[in-house]
Amino acid sequence: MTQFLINHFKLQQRINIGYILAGSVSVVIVILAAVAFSSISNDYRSYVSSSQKFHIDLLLTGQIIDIHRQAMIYTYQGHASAADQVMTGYENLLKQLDADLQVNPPKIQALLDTIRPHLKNYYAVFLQVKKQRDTQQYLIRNDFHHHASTIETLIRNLTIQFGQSSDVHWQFESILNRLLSAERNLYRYLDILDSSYVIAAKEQLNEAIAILENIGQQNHVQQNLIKEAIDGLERYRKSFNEVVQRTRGYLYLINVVMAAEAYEILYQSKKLSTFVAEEMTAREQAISAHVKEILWMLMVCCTALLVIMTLITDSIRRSIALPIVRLAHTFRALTEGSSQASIPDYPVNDEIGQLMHAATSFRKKNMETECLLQESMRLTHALESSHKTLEHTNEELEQVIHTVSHDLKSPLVTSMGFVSIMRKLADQGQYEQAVSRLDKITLSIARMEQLISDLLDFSRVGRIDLDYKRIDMNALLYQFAQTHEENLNRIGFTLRIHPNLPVIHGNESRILQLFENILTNAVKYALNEEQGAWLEIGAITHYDHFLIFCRDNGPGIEPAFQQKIFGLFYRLDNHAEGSGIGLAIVKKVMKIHGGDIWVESEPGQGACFWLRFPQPKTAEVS
Amino acid sequence: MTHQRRNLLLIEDSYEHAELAMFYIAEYRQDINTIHLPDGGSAMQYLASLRSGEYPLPWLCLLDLKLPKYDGHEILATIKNDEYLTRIPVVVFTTSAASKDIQQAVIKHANSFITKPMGADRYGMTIDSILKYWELNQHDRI
Repeated sequence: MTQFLINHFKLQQRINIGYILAGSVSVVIVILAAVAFSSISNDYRSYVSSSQKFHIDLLLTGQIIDIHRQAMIYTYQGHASAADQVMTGYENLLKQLDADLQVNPPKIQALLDTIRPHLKNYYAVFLQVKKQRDTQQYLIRNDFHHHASTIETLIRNLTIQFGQSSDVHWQFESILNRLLSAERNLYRYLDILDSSYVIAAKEQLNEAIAILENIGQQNHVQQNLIKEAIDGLERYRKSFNEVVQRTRGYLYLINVVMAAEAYEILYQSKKLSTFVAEEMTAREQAISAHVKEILWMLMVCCTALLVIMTLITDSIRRSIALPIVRLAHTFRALTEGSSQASIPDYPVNDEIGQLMHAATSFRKKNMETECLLQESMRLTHALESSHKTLEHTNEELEQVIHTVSHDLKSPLVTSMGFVSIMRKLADQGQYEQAVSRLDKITLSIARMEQLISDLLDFSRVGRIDLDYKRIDMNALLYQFAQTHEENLNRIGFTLRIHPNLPVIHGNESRILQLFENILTNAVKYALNEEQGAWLEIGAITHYDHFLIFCRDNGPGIEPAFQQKIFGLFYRLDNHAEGSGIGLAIVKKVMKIHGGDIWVESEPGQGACFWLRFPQPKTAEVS
Repeated sequence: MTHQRRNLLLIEDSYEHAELAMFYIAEYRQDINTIHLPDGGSAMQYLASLRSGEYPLPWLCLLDLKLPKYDGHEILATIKNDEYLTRIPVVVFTTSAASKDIQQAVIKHANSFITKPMGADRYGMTIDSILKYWELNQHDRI
């Protein structure tokens, strides 16, 4: 993932991807939250509407109770306004039921349907009650008063007919009293609704009738009037009974039938409210479960999104940090001057890519610097080596001058010394003695000449030898042996030349001089005349150089002097001839040929001179 | 001092120079017995024989530097590095006047460094001066 980002996107694109990702995740979370909350709010709304239904249900119960209360008020108090309110209440309730019937779910509709006929029935009974009451009122207000006044008038006529004096008069008075009392009892009954008043009133009426009948039987006069009075009383009693009947009828209706209907309605409405409550609880549970589910899902989605976002942003962060960390390592190595510092692979050309380019340039610079450094080191080495060569040459020159001054002075010292001795001897008159010293001076001067000539030879080596060419040692040494054959045979010295000698690059006359000097030395120091002295020359070829050996069977050289013998004017024996220049020249010849010389020897075991020549370059050989 | 014959060790490769030196020594000091050793090899052998203590140490040693086999510097080092031989006063007597030689000889504890003179009569005078000086010196009382 990280590598993919590094390989395909620029730095700013990667940062932008991070921002866009974070932004879109936020937006998605917001959308998810909005969806969840709208779902929750739908649930809430449905819950609220259910609770409104619950409210309607409460209203229904209240209204029924109110209607019934108004009905009771009307029944007992007879207020017309209460009856009107019952009517209005009923109509409103009916309307509401109709409205509810259209809105509510089937189960509630079924309940409301049950309630509806009961309500209608209730109202029908109420209308009946009203009718009964109206009739009763009518009876009380019209019939009753009419009958009572008629009876009173009749009784007053009878009293007048019968005369004041008669005892019948008291009977009529008692009839009137009883009538009055009955009337009073009726009103009491209507007021208190206690049936004992009815019984009392009935008894009084019966007594009044009985008294009148008695009067009629005893007195045959005025029979018509009495009969009329009795009829009147009968009618009165009838009306009275009717009133009581009516009253009892509507009381029954209101207290039993209407109350039953009202209770039925209340019962149904209670059922309704139980149902609604149950439904509300169920809905509440459903809603809370739904809300829980939605919130859980929201949480899961948000967490998942955040985790994904975290993973991707972490990848982005690493895709930015990783190349920078690698680059920092590279730069650290580069600042330390490394030209081998590895530059991390980074295919995109953005800010980091440019830094990579910079690192590449830096490394190139380091490489150049390193090359320069190596070049300068090489030059320093060359300078050092040439300085060393120069120093060496200087040293050698000093050595030569030193030696020369010493060795050249020596004959002078000798000459002067002997001149002085001669003078002294001459002064003493010993002329012969003096003259005999003259040879010493001559010899001394001859030696000086020899020294000077040798020195010139030595100084020529390497200074005037510009003629370098390919030399076949086989041919050269064959010729060398031919040249010396006669002389060597004469003194009994054997010179053996091995076959398969190398081809070298050098100055022919110097090489010849070299072998001549070696041969001269070998002859000069030759021993073992019985066995015959000899010198053999052979070669060993190595991959980059040749070794030529010159072995003799002479006295050998002690290890202490093996290096000194190559010194200028160095002699191992001051009785032997020569000035000690031969091996110095040999060494110088080897040096100008880029080679070397050393000796291996044990006293009495002969000596072997090793000449090391470098392998000639092919160009030089051809 | 003069009752006893003194040995003078002359280490000199040039026979001519040795003859000159011996001529003057014989001329000036009859009591000096000069022992001439012509090369480094014989000088080393002689010094080795002295180490036994059988023969008396030489009164003085005249040492040339340029010698076959072992050179004067090596002989000087042999004498001065030996606890016993170091008592021999060594006068380096050579044709060389190179500062390198002088320095090396002095470092190796040469008792004197004298360059062989070239003037007509100066060889004899120099020998005389050396002998006179070493006769004044109480070196041999050790």
